[in-house]
Amino acid sequence: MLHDLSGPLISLIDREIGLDDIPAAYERLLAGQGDGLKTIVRLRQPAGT
Amino acid sequence: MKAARLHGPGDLRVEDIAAPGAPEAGWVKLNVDAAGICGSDLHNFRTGQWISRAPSTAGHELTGTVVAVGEGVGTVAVGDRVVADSRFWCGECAQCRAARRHLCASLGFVGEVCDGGFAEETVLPARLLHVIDAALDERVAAMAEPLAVALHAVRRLPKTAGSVLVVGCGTIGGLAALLLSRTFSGSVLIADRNKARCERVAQVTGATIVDLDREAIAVATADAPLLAAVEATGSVAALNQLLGVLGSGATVALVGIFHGRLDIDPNMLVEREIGLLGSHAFADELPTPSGCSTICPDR
Repeated sequence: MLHDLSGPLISLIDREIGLDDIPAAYERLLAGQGDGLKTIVRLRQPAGT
Repeated sequence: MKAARLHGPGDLRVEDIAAPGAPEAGWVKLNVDAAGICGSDLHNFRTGQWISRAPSTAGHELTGTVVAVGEGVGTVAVGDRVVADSRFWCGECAQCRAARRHLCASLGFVGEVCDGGFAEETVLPARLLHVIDAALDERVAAMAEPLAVALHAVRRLPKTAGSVLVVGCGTIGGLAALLLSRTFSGSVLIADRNKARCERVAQVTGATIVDLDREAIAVATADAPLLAAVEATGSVAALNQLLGVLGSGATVALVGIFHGRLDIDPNMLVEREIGLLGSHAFADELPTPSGCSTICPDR
């Protein structure tokens, strides 16, 4: 199911951030900003980058 | 290594700390690949309600790659990609023995009772790790946990026909709408004060946006009673609005974390046979919440 839903799940991501950005992301989310569903903290670089 | 640690309410710091050493027996060390920020992370940051140790590396929606295993670990191996079960269950109480680990008598959560995924590396009990397909996008893998929470909420609803309403288009509500859009043969309705977010969920899921008032619901349901809903806002005001638009005999799965108390006339529940069902975390829906179309064919 995770594979099947990959497209829509990625479409629903709000932002991809790094560890340093987490405190600011908390403040942003608590302020109700952001039109997506999920902020992802990404630590592994995508293949090929 | 770098980690985002909660020191107390409102006190989250990104710090350089010592990386975890070799894992103890039964534990596993991971390189964290991705982690999601959850509404409950924000709730704990704001209120400190679930702080049981400090500082604690936050983050319970995580996926990673195994880099070391402790003695006796046979379920995962170095190089495996895994997702974490966020529920830190005891495995010994009556609820755990009955496979209701989400209702464990001493339930805690990763990121609170032990360090979580907002770090370059973390260590977790092997019993909380599930191997995933190595080709799965890490952003998708990081959403396995909230997807399981959403699926559990959807599965709490009784079989019904007609329409299902999801109130709140945050992570869990939006994912519930997504799951319903794939498995429910009737209409999926969504409501959220954040119109842009609601429209984004509608665009991805095909759900119909509605206002939480009787007229709008009547139009959307063609005057049929609304018999099922997922409440994913955690807002008492939104729940009160929802109760006002439900049909008699309806059931609501409550999955939002509430701020404040509900003041209702219980006779309204009695006389209209309204069911309010709590939905906490997930049961057996992680890591690959597969087969929900066969588990709940009418949804």
